[in-house]
Amino acid sequence: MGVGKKGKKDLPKRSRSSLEKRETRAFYVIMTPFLLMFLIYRLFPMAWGVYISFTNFSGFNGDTMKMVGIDNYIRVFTDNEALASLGRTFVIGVIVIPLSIIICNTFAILLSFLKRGIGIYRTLFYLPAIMPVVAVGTMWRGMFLRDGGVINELIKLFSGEPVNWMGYDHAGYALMIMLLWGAGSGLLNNIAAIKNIPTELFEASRLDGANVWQQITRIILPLSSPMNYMALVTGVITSLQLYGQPMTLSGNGMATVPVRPLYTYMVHAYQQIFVNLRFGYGMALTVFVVLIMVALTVVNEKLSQKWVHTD
Amino acid sequence: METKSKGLRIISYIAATLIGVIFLFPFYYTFINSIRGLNSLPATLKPIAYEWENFKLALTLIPYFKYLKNSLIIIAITVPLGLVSNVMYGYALAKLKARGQSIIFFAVLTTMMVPTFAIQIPQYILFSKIGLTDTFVLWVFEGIAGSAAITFLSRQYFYSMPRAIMEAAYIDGCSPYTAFTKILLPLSKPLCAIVVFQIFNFNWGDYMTAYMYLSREKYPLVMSMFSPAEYVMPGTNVVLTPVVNAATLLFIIPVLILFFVCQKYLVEGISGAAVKG
Repeated sequence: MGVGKKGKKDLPKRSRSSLEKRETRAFYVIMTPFLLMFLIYRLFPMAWGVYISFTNFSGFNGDTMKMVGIDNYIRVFTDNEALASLGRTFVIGVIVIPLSIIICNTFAILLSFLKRGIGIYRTLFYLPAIMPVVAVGTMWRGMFLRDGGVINELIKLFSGEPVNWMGYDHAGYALMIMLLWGAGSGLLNNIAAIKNIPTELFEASRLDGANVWQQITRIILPLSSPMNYMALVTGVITSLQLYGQPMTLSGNGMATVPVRPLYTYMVHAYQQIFVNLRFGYGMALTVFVVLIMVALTVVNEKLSQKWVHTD
Repeated sequence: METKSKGLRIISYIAATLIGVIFLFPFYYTFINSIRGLNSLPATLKPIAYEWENFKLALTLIPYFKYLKNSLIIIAITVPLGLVSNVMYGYALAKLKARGQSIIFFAVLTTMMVPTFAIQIPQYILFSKIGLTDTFVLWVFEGIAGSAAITFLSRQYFYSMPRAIMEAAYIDGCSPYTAFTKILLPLSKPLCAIVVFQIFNFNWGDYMTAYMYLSREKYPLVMSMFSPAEYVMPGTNVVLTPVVNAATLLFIIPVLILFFVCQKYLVEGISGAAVKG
């Protein structure tokens, strides 16, 4: 690397303390743009949003805007749509998150068995994850068409009854199928985690007579747990924010109300703000879901000590 | 892990191929439906016509180059700015010792927790108050602020490099800045590749931000390519599905190219980062 040629083992004491000062100064110089942006561009909007959630702001009533206390928050609990859509969003998350994690681990393990062509399969599995949300929605909408859509045609081929995928009974399943198809985004992390496992570990376990299943459950899965933990935490956060996918799947434009199973919590919040111009209430809905996210992240963190492997 | 068992490997190949086909199918389906006639029923498993004209329509029905220009402006702003900011922040958070570092790292993490949605609405209100909506200034801010997830990844990447590298750099007369530019940065190609790919991929396909902040004139491609009929006959209900399908395929080509260019680095980039929870 060409460094350390002078062969000195350590820095002299005096320069060490001045080094700390230099590092501190450099740290704050480098982080200044972030800090400025964070204050102006993230913290201030967040604080403003929380403030708005305690008012009757509608976007245009600057003159009649007033504080309404916790009215907006009470309304979150009395508005049937809010809790119903939150429950719906939870159900989708509870099904999709574990399945996504299982899919990513299975595929990564499967790929680790291969000798050649790993690159091709890796690309194939990852391909859906690089599709823009809008394009994914458009694509699946075509496949789910009631008449002539390929999924119904395949069902007919196996002599089943074609289904109205975009209707009340099946739109939820359609959404989940679409979400699971895109689950490969976490795959690269799992592949990397397996790649990081020293090969000696596998060799040693083989000498000890471990079979493949034992290698998977005793070596690969524990050592992939930090990645799976990251997938769980981000999965919980993003699934509560679910908005783009149901909207593009329903495909009638952003301001429309999609069929109930696609009407997620964030769609409800969006409707309140941009269609009904209830900014205060919309922000209360948003703050409420952020609190849930923070709580779930803390719970995840606590539970992680039970299953996430650390050195 | 390479398995010694031949049977297992063969089963794995079969399974991987089957899954690959399932994952690829929507792309194939979009393709065969991009070359069917404008008024025909959807093709199901094999092409029913070869109307290559649809690909041309996808580019000519909308003012393609105008919107491409807007997309490229956003990319030209966010990719270089985001690359510099995220990688630098990652370096500072991982390798420079300073008081208050953990608090600032926590600030990075909060931006990951609070949904973009929750920040964007108040941001929009603020931006409209100071008259910055319908400009690309927002993306300059986005670029400078960095993305929490990517800053986090960069930090993990530099974290995995031994501290001794820094000591050696200082002995060679480097400052904290030149240690970064001369020593660590040349070792960070995988990280840079993954950062460029992720920023490009996100901004190329991100429509929420554009939808919120920009007027039709300034829309990027992602806002216009999927509604070609709107540009022929405003307010129409016609969708022109084959043209939309062709547009979808054309739209993802740049991302695919970048993916293949970066693909070798993509996995290395992550395995370089310390995989700690």
